[in-house]
Amino acid sequence: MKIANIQLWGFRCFGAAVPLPTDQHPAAPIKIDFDDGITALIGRNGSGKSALLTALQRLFGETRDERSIRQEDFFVAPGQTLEAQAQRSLIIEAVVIFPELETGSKEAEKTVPPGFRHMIVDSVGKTPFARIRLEATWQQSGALDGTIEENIYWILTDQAVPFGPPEDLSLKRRMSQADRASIIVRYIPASRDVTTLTKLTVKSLGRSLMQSVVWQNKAKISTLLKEAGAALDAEESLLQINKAINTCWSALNTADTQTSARLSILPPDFQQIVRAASVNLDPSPIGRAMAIEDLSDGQRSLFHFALVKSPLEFKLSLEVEVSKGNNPPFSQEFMRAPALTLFAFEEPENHLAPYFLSRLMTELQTLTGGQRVQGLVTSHSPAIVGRLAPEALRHMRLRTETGISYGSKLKLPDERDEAAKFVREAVRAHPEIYFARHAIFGEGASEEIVLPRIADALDVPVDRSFVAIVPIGGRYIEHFWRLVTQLGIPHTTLMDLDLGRSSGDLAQFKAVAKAVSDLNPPADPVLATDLANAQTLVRNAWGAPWDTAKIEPWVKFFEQFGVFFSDPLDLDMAMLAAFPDAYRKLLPGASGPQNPGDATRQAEAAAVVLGSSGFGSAPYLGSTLMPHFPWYSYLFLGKRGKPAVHLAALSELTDAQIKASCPPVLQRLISRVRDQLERGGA
Amino acid sequence: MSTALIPPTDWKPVGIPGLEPDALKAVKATGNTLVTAGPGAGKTELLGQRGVFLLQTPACIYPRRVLAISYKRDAARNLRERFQKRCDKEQARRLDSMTFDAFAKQILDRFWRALPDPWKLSGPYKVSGFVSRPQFLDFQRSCAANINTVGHPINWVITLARKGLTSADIYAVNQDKFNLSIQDLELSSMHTPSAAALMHIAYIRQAYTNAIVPLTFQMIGRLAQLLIESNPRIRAAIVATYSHVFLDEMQDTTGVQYGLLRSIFLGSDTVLTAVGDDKQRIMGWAGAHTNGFGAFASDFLAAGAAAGQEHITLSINYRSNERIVGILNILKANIAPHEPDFRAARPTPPLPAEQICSLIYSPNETAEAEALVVLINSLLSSGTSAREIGLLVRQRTVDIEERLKPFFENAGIRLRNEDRDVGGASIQDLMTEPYAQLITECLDLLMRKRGGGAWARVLENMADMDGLIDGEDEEPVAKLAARLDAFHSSNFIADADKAIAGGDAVELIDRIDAFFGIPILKAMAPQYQQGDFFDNIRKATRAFMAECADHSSTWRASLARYRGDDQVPLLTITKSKGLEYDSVILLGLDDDQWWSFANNPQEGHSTFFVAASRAKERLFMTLCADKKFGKLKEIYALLERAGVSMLNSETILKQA
Repeated sequence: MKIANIQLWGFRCFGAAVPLPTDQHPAAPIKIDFDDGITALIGRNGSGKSALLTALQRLFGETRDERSIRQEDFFVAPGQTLEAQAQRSLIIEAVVIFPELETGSKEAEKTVPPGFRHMIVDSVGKTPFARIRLEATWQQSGALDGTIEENIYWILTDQAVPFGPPEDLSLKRRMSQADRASIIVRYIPASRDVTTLTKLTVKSLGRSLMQSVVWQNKAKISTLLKEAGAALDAEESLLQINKAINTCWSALNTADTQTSARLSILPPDFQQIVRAASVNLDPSPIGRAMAIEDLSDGQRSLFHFALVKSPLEFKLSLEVEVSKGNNPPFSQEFMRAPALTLFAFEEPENHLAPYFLSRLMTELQTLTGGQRVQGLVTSHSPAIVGRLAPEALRHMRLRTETGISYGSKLKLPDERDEAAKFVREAVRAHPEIYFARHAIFGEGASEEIVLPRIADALDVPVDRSFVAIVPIGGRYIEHFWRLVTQLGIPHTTLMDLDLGRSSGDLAQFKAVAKAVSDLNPPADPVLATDLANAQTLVRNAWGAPWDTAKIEPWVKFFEQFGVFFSDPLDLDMAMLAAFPDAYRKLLPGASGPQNPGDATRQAEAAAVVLGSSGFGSAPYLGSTLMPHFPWYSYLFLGKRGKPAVHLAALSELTDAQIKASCPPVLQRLISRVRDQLERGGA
Repeated sequence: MSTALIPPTDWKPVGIPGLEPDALKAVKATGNTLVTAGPGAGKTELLGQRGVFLLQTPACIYPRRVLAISYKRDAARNLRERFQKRCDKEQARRLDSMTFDAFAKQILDRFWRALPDPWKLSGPYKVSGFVSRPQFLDFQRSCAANINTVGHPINWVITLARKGLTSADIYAVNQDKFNLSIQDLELSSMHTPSAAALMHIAYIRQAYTNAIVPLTFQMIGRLAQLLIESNPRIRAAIVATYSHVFLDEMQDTTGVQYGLLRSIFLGSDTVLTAVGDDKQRIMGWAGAHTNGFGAFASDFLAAGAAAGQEHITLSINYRSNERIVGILNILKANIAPHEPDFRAARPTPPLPAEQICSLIYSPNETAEAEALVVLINSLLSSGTSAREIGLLVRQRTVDIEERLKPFFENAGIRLRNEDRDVGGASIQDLMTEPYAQLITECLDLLMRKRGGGAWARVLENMADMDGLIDGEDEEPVAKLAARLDAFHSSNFIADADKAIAGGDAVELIDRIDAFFGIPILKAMAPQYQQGDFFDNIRKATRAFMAECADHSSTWRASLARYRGDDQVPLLTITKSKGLEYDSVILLGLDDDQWWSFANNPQEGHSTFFVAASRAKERLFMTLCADKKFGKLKEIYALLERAGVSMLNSETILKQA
C-alpha cells in the first residue's frame, strides 16, 4: 500500500486560482506524485515543502492536534486577508494504491482489508485503488476566529465529485476514524523541537505499555512495591518530615480532619510506575545513565528516529508472530501496525553529519522496500538527495505573483532515450546541482579543477556548495539545461571547441544550436535564423583550406547563450598555451617529451591528438600552438592524468600570474557567472 | 479496550452453555466445511459462534474480515445482530453480513470500469426487475424474426458462440426456461448450453443498447463474476480482505450466486463455511442450484478431512419437542434416508398426544373455521401469544384470509395475512425492509419522551448512512445526535394515546422522510436502486401505516397494529422458511392447495417438511371432508407411520 499522490485545493500555499469546487473541480488542483520508496522535496525556503508535510499530517496525523484543520490552513491570496471572504474551503486528497495486488504478496492481507470496501478501478485490467479526501470550510462567525468544519470521505469514483456533504452515497462516503487510522503519518520535524517530541513519544510509549502488555508478574511487582513503600515510610527522616507537614496542614485545614498529607517518594501503584516510564541511555560501565537531554543535537534527532521506528518494527514483527499462531504477551490492539506508515522527515540534515545522514537514509530505504512503509523528506542536502534516484525528487516552487506553490517531477530524458542513463548518473554523482545558485557544465575533470582556481584568482569566489560544476563530457547538454531551468538555476556551459577533431568545431556548433533552439528559442528573428543556419553547417561544403575567420564569429555568437568554447582545442591546450612554464615544469626524475622543438615531431603529435576524421591538424599548421602538441601529448595523454597535471601546474602560479595570462574565454565565463550570481543574490 | 487473543484450544462458546461436539467442530474448523443443519439445529447460533471464534483467536487475523453471505435480507440482519450480541464492537465491525445481491452489486458498483469487451459499460447502470411477460414475448418475436439480421443481439450472440439456432428453437423457449437460463450461462466463455441461454445473453446485449443499462440482480451477479475472472487483481483484493466466508442457506444458492463465489474463492486460502439443509430445498423455481451441496463438496471439500475439509451433519434439534422431532424423523427418512436421525433437545410436554400433533378433520370449511377459533382461543388462554401461532398455507393466502376473517373477528381474534399486498409489497416483506424498519423506529421514538433503544437504533442508522461508526467517530456522531434531538423535540408526540387518523400518520412519515432526505434513504439498501422498488416500499409503508391508523383509536395502538402485536400471522410455507412458532397450524392439506405436488414430489416433500419443522410445541394440520387428498397420499402415509392422530372438529367444538 502506497500513497500515489496528494492533490490540494486551497490548502496553505497550495491555493486554488478559482473559488473552490461547487460542482466540478476548479482549473486544476496542485498535484504531487509520490515515489513508492522515499520521495524528496527540494526547493527554496517558503516554496511549500513543509506545507505539504502539514497537509499529510492533516490527513493521517497521529494526534488529533496534528489532524485538526486550523485557520492558517486556508489559502489567502497575497495582499488579501482571511476575512476578505465570508467563507473559505480547502481539499486535501490522497490516492492510495496497492502494488501488492499485482505481485500476489501476502502483505495485501494487512493492507487491503481496511479499504477494500471503498476501492475502485478506473479501467480494464487495472489494479484497485482508493481515494481519500479531507474537506474543510472556514466561515466567519460570532466566534473570534470563525468556525471550521471538516469532514473526511472515501471517494468512490474516478470522476469529479462535488465539494460538500454527499448527496449520492455511491460516489462519496464518510470515512470512519478506524479506517482513517489505517494510515499513519509519522512526522519528524527539523531538530529544534525534537527534545519535547521525544519526551512525548516516550510518555505515549509508557501509556500504551500500560494498556497493552499482558503483565505476567503483576501481583509480585505490586507486593514488592507495597513492601518498598512501607520500608520507605518507616524511615525516621520521612516520619519526621511527614509529621511536620501534617501539623501544619491540620492547623490550616480545621474543617476536614479526614485527610492527612504524606510525602510519597515511590509512586503508589503499579500503573503509575509504568506511566512514569522514561528512556535512559547507559553510556559506559563507569558513567551514570544519560537522559535524552544529555545527547547532542544530532544524536537526539537520530535517537528520535530510532524511537519512532522501533515500535513500528516491533509491531511488524509481532504481526508475524501472530500469523504463525503464536501468542505474544500483548493485547491484540498493540500487535497491529498501521496498514501504511509514512515517515515525514523535515530536513533530516539539520545537525547531522553526512555519515549519520547516510545511515539514516539507508535505514529508511530498507524500511520502504516493503509495502507497509513510505518515506517523505524535505531537504537542502546533497548527502540526502544524492542517495535517491532523480525520479524520486519533487521540486517545489512558489509563484510570487499568485502566492501559489507547485510541485513537479524533475524533467529528465525519457527512459527509452539513450540520454536517460547518462543524465541520471551525472546528477546522482553531483547532487549539489539541485541546490546550486549557478551551474557550470564542463567537459570533465579538468574544468572541475581549473575553473574554481581561476575564479578565485579573479576574485570571484566560486564555492562548490553553491556553484555546481558538473562534468558532462559535452553530451546531452539540452537535458541538463532543461533540468536546471526547471529548478530556476542559471547556468553556464564550457565546451571544448575541439577544432580539427571529428566531433569538434562545426559539429559542436550544430549540436549547441539545436539544443538552444529546442529549449529556449530566441524571440529575435535574426538570432533564430543564425541558430537555424548553424544547424546546416557542413564541413565538406566549408571546405579546405581551413578558414579561421569563419570559425571565430560562431564561437563568439554562442557566448550570448551562456555557452563558451575552450578555443581552439580544449581547456587543457588553452591552459598549457597560457601558462607554458608552469605546465612544462617537470617532476623530479621525469625527462619530458622527446625533441619537442622538432617540427616533424610536432606534426606527428598533432596528428595523434586530433585524428584524421575531421579537419585534423590542418587548422593548426603554422600556428603558434604547434610547439605545444608534443607537451600536450606528454602531459594529457600520458599516465599522470589530467587532474594531477592541472593541480601541479596551478600550484606553481600566483593569483597575479593567473590574472595576467588567463585564457580570455575563461575570464569572460567567470565574469558571466559573477554577474548572474550578483543578479540572483539581490 | 484491551483483550489478548485466545488460543483456539482454550476458546469457549460465548453466551451459551455449550455446543454439540459436531457443531463445535464446525465452529473451530480450519478448512472448508459444509454443514448440514436441519431445522432447529441452531444455524444462526453456529455461524455467530464461528464468527466470534475466528475473531477472538488467531484465526481471522486483524485486519482481515469475515464475509457472511445470506440468501435473504432478514437472515443477514439476524446474523449481524446475533454477532453483535456475542462480541465487542471492534470485532463486530470486521464481520460483513450481507445478502448475495448486495455483495455482487457492490463489486459491480465499484469496479464496473474494469469490465472487458464486449461487456464494457460506458457509465453507471441501473437495477431493473424481472423480465415481464410482454417484454419476454416481444423479445422472443424479435429474436425469431432476426436470427440472420446482422447487428441484432440474437445474431450477434449466435455468431459469437458459433451456434446454429432456428426460429423454432426460439419459440420452444418459454419464459420460465428463459428466466432460469441465466443460472447456467457464463459471460466469460460464452458457454451457452441452451437456446434459452443464448436468448438470455442476447437480452443482456439488448439491454446494453440503452444509455443507462438496465440490469437484473442475476445479470449483476454474472457481470461481477466476469469482472473477477478477467481481473485477477480484484479477486486478489477480495481474497486478501476476507480470510473466512460464511454461506447461509446453501441449498437455496442459485447458479449465478454459486458461480460468483466459485470464481472468487476456488483455489484461494480463504476458508468457507457453507451451512444449509438440502431437505429444505424449495426454491427451485427461483433458480436454486439443483445440487448445490454436491457442487460445493466437489469444489471445496476435494482435499478431504486431512486438509481440514469436511462435511458435518448436526443432529440436535433445539426447536421442536421430542414428539415433533419424532415426526420430522419419519419425514426425513423419506427425503434423506442416509442422514442420522434428529435428536430432540427438549422432552414432549405432558399433554394428550392429539394436543401436540393431530390432523383436524372437519365436515366442511365452516366447521373447520369454527374449530380453528376454538383451538386458537384455547392456545391463547393457555398463555401462547398470538404471534407464536403460525397459520401456514401452501398458497392463496388472500382467499383463506377472507374465508376465516369473519369467524376470527367475531371471536375477537386478529388475523394478519403476512402475504397481503399493501400497495407495493407484502406485509411480511415490508417488515424486513430497512426503510420500513427505520420509519417504525422513528415513530416509536417520537412517541417516547426518552428514546432509549429506539433512539440508539435510529442514531446507529444515521451514523451508518453517513459512513460513521457509533462509539468511535464521536464528534461527527455527536452532531448527528444533536440533529436527531432537535427533530425529536419538534415532532414529539406527547400523548401517544390521543386519537389518530390515517392522514396524521402519513404526514409524520413525510416529515421523517424529509429529515433524512430521500437520496440518503434510497442508498440504504442495494435493492432500492432497482427501478421503482424504493418508491413501492415507501408507498406500501405509508398505505399500511394509514390503514393501521384508520383502524386504531390511538397513535400507540396504530403502531402496535402496524407491527402485528397480538395478531395471528397467516403466511405461505415458502415465506415461513427460517421462522418458528410455538404452534403451527397447516391449513388445507388437500389437493386444492397442493395441486402441484405431483409435478415435483421431491420439492413437495421438502415443502411439507419445512412447514412441519416450524413448530416448537404443537403441530396441527387441517382437512375438510369435501376436499380430495389423493395427490398427497405419500404424505398421509408418512403421517400414519408417524402415528399422527385424527382430531374431529366436532370434538374440538364440544370442548368449547
